[in-house]
Amino acid sequence: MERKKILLVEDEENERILYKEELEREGFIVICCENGSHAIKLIEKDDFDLLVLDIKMPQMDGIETLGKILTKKRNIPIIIYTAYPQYKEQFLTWAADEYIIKSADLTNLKEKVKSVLNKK
Amino acid sequence: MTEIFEEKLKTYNYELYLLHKVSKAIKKTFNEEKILSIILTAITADCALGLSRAAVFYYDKEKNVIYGKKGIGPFNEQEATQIWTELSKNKMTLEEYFQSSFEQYLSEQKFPQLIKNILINIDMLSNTNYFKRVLLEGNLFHIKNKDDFTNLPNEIKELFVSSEIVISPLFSSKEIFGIIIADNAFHYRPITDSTKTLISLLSIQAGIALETTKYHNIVKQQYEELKELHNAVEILQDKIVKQERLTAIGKLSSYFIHEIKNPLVTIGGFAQRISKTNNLSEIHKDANIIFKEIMKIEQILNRFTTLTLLSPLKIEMVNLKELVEEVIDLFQIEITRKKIVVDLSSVQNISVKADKIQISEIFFNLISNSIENTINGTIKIYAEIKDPFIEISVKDTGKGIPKELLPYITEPFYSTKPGGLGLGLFIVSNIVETLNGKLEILSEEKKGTTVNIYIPIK
Repeated sequence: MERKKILLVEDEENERILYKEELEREGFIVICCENGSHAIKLIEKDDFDLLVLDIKMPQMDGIETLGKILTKKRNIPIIIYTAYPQYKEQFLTWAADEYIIKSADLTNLKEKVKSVLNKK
Repeated sequence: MTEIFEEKLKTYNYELYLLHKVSKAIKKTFNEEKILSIILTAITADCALGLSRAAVFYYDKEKNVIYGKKGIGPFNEQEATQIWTELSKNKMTLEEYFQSSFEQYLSEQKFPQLIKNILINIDMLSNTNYFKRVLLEGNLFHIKNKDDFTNLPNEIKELFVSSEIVISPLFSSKEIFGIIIADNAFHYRPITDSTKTLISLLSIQAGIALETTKYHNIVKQQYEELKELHNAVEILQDKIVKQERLTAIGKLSSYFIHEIKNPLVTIGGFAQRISKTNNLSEIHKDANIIFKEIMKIEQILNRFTTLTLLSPLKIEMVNLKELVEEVIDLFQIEITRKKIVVDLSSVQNISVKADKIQISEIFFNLISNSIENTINGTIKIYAEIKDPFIEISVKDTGKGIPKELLPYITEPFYSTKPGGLGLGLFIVSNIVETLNGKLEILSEEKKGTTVNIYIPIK
C-alpha cells in the first residue's frame, strides 16, 4: 500500500519534530513547514493526502492560510491542530475536516489522522 | 365700650388660635389632598368656622376651565341633620377632626362626588359672574342677595341653594390657581366679617402650602429620578468593570494558551516518548528538548514578574549606550528584514544609577513597538541626561497610532496587533510611574510615533 503524505504546518520547531516523528512511526510520510506562505508554495508544487494546520502562527496565520489553500485545492482533507478551543465552530463550517485541541497525549491526533485518511 | 373691646379681642384671639392650629396641621404634610382636607375641615367643622359645605376648585389656565377638586359637606337637609346629630354626640376638637377619618367618610358622600364632576368653561361666563370675577380681581366675594345668585355658574347654583355664599381666590406666589367656596346651607347662620377674614387668611395659607407641596413633590420626584439614574449608572459601571475583567481574563488566557500550553504539549509529548523507549540517545535528545521548552515557560513567567513589578529592585550603575545596544541586538533579524535604519547617535555613553531590568524593559517595549509598526523607515533613539531628568525617547517613522486610540494604548491588554498581548506600553507606563517620571506619547497616522520619557535623577 502506498504511504500517505501529510503536510504539517507548525511554527514551533520542537512541536514540529514531535508530530513529524510520531506520525512517521505510524507509517506516514510527513513534510513540515513553519508558516502559511511556505505551505501554500508546497501545496502548489506537490500533492498531499492531508494537511495538518496550526492556527496561531506569525505572519500568515492558520485562518488566512486555510482560506488561500481552499481557493487552490478544495479537495485536500484538513485537520486543524491548535491550542485554542474557541475557533472550532468557525473552522468546521469553513470546510476543515477535523478540529483537534492540542494535547501532550498524541493518541487523538494519530486516530483522527487515520480516520480522515481512511474516509478519503 | 370695654365690652366691645373685649369682644373684639376675643374674636382676634379666636382667629389667631384657629390659624395657628391650621398652620400647624398643614406644616406636617406635603400631601395635596391632606392640605385641602385640613382647609375644608377648618371651614366646616362646628368647632372652627362652622359653615355647612365647602369646596375647592382649581383653575386650568391653558384650557381656561375651572374644575371641582374637593368638597366637604352634606348634600341635602336630611343628610345634614344626620351628620350633625352624629357629630354632636361626640364632640371633637379641630386636631381630632384633622386626624380622624371623618373627612374620608364625608368625601364619599354625594356632595363631594358632585363637586368632583363639575367643569366650568370660563369663556361661557359673563363678566359679572363671580367665578370669573374672583379669577380676574382676586377678591373675596360674599353673596347674600337673591339677585346676586344669578351671577354664579349654573352648576354652582344647582348645588349651593343657600342663603349665603363666600367665594375666595386661591393664590400661589405668581397667580390665582383656584377658588374656595363655602355656604351656610341648612343651618343658615349668617356669615360674619370675622369668618370672611378667616376664610381669606386660610385661602392664603392653603395657597402657600399647596405651592410649596407642588415644588416639594417636583423636587422629590426629580430626586427619585436622579437616584434611579445614579443606581442605573452604578449598575452599568459595575457591568463595565466586570466586562473589562472578563476581556482581560480572555486575553490573558489566550496568551497563556499560546505561550505556555504549546511548550507543555511539546514537553508532555516528548516525556511520553521517553517513557516508551530504552534508546539512550533518543532519551538524551528528547530530554534536551524538554529542558528547552521548560526554559521557554520560565522566561514567560519572568516577564510576568516584571509586569507586576514583583522582583526586588537592584540599583546599579547602568550604561545607557550599552543597554540600548544590547536591546537592539535582540531585534537585529527583524531590523534587517524590515529594512529599518536605527539611529543611536543621540544615545549618550553615560552611566546612571538605576535598576537595569526596569530600564531595559522600557527600551525593549518601545523599540519592539516601533519595529512592529515600521517598514523601510527610521527609528531614532535618544537617551540623555538633562539635569534633573534622564530623557529617553524612541521616535519612529512608522504607521502611527490613530488619534482615537491614543487614550487607551497604555491600558493593560490593549493591543492593535492581531495576537498582541497589549502589555508593552502598560509595562512601560507602570515602570515610569514607579520612578515618578512622566510618559508622553505623540503620534500621527502614517507619519510615526514618538514616545518621550522623563525620569527624575535621584
